[in-house]
Amino acid sequence: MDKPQVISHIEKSMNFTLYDVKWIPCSAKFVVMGAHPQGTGALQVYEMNKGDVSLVHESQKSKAIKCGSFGASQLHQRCLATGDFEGKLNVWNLENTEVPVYSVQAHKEIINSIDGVAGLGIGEGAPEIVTGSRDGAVKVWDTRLKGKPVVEIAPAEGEARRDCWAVTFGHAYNHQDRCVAAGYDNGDLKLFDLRSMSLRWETNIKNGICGLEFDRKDINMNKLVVTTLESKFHVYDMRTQHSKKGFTSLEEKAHSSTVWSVRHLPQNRDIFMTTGGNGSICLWKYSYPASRVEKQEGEEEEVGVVGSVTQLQNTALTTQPISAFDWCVDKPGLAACTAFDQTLRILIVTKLNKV
Amino acid sequence: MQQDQQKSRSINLDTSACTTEGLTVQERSEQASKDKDKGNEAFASGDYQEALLYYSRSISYSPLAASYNNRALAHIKLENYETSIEDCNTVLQMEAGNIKALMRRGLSYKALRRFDMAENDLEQVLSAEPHNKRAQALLNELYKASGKLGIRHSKPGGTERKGRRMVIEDVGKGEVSRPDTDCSRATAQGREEETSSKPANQDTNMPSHSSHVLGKGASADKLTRDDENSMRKATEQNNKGGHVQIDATSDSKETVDETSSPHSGSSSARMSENSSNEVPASTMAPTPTRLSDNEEMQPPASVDKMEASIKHMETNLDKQSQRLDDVLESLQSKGHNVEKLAEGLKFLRESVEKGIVDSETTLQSIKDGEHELQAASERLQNEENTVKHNQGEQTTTASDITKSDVTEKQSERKTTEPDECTDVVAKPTMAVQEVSLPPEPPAPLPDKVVKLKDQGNAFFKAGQYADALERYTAAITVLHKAKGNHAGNLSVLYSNRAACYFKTGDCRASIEDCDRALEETPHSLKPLLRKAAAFETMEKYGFAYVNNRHVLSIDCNNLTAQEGATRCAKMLQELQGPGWRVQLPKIPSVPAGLSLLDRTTTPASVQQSVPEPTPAQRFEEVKVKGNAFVQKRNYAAAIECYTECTTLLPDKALGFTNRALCLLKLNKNEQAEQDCTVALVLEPDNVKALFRRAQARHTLQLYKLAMQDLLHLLKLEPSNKAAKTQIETVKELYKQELEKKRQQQKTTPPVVKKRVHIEEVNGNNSEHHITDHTKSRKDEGKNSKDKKSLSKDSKLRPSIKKATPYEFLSAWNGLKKTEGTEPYAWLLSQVKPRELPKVISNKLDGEMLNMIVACTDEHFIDKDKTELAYQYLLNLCQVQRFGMVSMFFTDPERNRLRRIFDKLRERSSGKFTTQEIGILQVKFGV
Repeated sequence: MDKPQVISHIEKSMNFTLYDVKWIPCSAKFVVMGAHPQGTGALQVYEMNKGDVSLVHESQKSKAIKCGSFGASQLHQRCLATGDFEGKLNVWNLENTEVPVYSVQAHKEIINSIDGVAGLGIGEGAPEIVTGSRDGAVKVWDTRLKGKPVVEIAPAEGEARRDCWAVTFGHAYNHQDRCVAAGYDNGDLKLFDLRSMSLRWETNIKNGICGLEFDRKDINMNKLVVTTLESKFHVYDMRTQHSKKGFTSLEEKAHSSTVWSVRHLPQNRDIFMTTGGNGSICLWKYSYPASRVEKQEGEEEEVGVVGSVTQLQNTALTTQPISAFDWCVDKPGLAACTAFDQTLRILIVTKLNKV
Repeated sequence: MQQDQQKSRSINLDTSACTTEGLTVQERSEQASKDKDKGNEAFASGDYQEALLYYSRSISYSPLAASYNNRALAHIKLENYETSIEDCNTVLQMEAGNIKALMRRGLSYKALRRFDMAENDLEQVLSAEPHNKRAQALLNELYKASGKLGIRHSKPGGTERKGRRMVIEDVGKGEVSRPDTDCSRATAQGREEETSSKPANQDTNMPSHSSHVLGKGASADKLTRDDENSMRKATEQNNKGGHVQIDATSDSKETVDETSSPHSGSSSARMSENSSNEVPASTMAPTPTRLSDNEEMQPPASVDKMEASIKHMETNLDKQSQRLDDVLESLQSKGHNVEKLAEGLKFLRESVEKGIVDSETTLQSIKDGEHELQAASERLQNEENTVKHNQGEQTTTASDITKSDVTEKQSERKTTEPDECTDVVAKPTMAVQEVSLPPEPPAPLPDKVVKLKDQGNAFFKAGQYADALERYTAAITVLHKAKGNHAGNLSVLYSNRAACYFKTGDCRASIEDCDRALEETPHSLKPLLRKAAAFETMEKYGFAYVNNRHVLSIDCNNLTAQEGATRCAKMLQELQGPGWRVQLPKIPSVPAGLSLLDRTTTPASVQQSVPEPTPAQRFEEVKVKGNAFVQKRNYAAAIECYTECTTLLPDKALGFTNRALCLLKLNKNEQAEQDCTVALVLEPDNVKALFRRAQARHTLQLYKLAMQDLLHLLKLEPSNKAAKTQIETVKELYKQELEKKRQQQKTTPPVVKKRVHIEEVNGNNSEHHITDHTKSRKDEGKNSKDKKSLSKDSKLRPSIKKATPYEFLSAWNGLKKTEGTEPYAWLLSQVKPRELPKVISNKLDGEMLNMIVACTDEHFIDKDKTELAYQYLLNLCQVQRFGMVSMFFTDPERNRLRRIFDKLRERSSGKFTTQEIGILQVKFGV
């Protein structure tokens, strides 16, 4: 019984489809985003209250909301950036959700994924938002710049446009460096360096990429976890890039169905949770190898060595896919997740400090 | 790119310095702790440079002692000892007496070879935490290292230590201890060179190194030069300076350290033992003069004792030579370079004999040597000053320390206690105990040994390993008197003592005992297994693996060995990569016919040597049988065995406590309680009996009494975790009981005053107030179940409305410990029949199916809920995997189903037809 246990602390069933959940930084509240049956967007703020959650604030938007992030917001503002089904990027002040603080028609089609950096004291440099959409483009936004993206990464005119399913920031450990990783439905994984404005590395993992995340955004990039459609995820050691072999990785089976997303524990970068299409969540721990680099014989360049992952816990919460998962930054082990059974769950993961 | 990173990192640092402006105190401390965490993570992944960076950033936000402390450690890893000391100083300014900071500063001082300062720090640590093994080990290393430079310490016995050594045992296990991490940490290479020339002997070298310690570090090494063994000298020079020997000696020295401290009274006797033991150390220079040479190196103070000791030496000689024979044999059996060794050892024995015969001459030469030594030490003193400033010396030690750091690093990464790896302490070894023990009783009887052994076993079982250790040691000494025909018994005793050592965490001693046990009866399983376990604990996976394989070659079905071997193989593969097998020591071959046979012969030989089985032995036998039954969970049979035990030796608590365990397992709590009470009358402080009685009373709902037992237990064993958790639950239950009682008293008139704990459940079941004792007891049991399910239900009710599979299954599994179908039925009744397939989803198994059928039988049909029962059964067919699971109905289960269907037919009230029942029956396959 020394391993961490996942306890379903609160379950609340909703009357709309849940797509994303995010804890509001420095509070016991969280935002739930989703789509009402009639196709409108739901944005609800809940508060944990004596073993139950109570609705604090609710608003209905014209478009269904797919994803949201606090990553680029200042701590005292705590503005939520959302992407909706029509490709619109909105930034909301949760105190007053009548009109967005910032709004832009970011993409032609649904925004599948959104991430922010340099807010909340995580990451150096200017706060930026990145969005990935079905129209195949990845765009980086600065809310100080109205109407157009800071960076747009899209296939050239005439080339096939792949559906971008996942984007994430990383490597933001000083004012200059920053990377965006993007995953596509055809298994393409691309790493864009925003400092040199170039494609730093790309690979194809032969399976649609559903979710990806760096273990930390605000350090010299260390690890990247990539989850895929067919019950596998990959962990890349991002410290050592070989000019030919790129980054080394390991592959692990999980959930025996789609691995929807991955979220690293904010308090320990080597522990992460993956969420499965079969309604289960798995807790993993990454262990480093004895040496993280090695030189093969007759070669000058170093190649990275990947460690190993061990499963700490596997818990079935429901039978429906778990669409989103978010760790609470302030309370280690507290987490919220949404599933397609229209139920929101507050989870407690025990013994994370003893892993 | 590396450079690029470095550059950007420095940029990073600058920015952090300016971003601190304009932040509130709270924000700063938050940032500081965030960065400290990042530093810790980087440290854990082995990136010390980055860790350093984040710690520095954390400090620039808000200077926390922990950050400084961690940064000090990172500095140590990067070998910036000066800065590390600065950081430690800052920590100590903030928090005087911070143990970690003191340790780290001590380590840094040691690395900088400022031994006095290091010693000061480490002693402070030890005064605060006397059992800090790491500090002890470091301090010992320190003495050695400083001794090497000739710094005299005022530490009592500091110089005396140098002369003592334990050798003889080491010859036997020489090859075992070769890849010892502690030694190899300093010098894998150098030592291998030595070992390649004389494989089994290098441990015997160590003592002679220690005698050379004075000269070693200096490049101009006078003592080695004038010495006898040019061979070793050559290897030393290969080793480029003497740091190799520092650690090599460290082991033997610590052995000495430990052994000499507790029995300073008998030191002269031991001295003789040691000096005679020493002789084999001179394998390379087996001349009669070697002995004198060797003693010449000993500090002058010990020479006086030497005279007396030489007499003693003579008496010991026979024993020693016999020992040497044994050693020789064992070495031969191990098949290592046998001829060479045999030659060497024969030579040795001659030299010993000669040495004793010429003891007069020796004495003379010792006296001569004494003068020489003084002269030498004077010369050394001069040299020492130059050595201190010797750059080369510093670098060698520095590298020495890095190596040690590497091992530390590894151990830390494995998240084991670093103490385990660096703990070089070797506890008293056999030879010393032989000497240091009080004079043996004149006529040792087997009975006495048996008694001692039984006592030892009892202590061991009770977890009092130190006491058990004492008993076994006594038994061994007694048995040694009648040596020759007791090989098997000795082996068992050694093996048992090894287990004790292992339990007390002294793996090294455990291994030594195992070796001895194996000497007596080679290829016996238990010592091999224990040796493997000890090696594994010491993280010497190679040897652990070899030992496990050895066991498997004897008994290929041994589960422990199998598991151990797999574990070790995994670890080895992780540590050494795919080529790990190449580096393995040789797996000893087992003679044909020994495999499996040996298992039976070993215990048999034990019994042979003790002729007619005394009740004690019979007791032991039956007990072992009982234990086996318990392991197979055949509790009824085990109870029989233990009952026999109690009749054989009614004054032994063990039988009773064990029987109590079985009774507990069979849920016969009252009998278990009685047994425990008997056991406690025999042994008032029997921990197990206390715990089991508490368990029994817990289930009997005698919470108060259970709590008393547990409190008693915790007084005896304050760290007993199981008891602690148990007491928590009991407390909770007791509170509930009290509360209910109070409520009850408010609501019910005080007419019913007896049997209060019956009333705790509900006000309405007044039929429970029956005076009949047994009946009410039964009801009590039921009540407890009721209550359990009730408490569960109260929790479940809201969620069961949704009836999610997760909730249902966790509730269902939660009932596994309860007996009877009632709680299950209760749970089931909260699920609507048509929700059953959804709720069970694909988790249906045979047990669950049977339980549900039983529930419908006992609780629905029999209680006039026929319709509900039918609905449940109907929906049960819809559950996933039903078809598969129902194929495995046993005959009684089928019969029960037939009965159910018959009943259903009888009582069908129009809601369903007999035809429908027929269809259902077909679905169930009956």
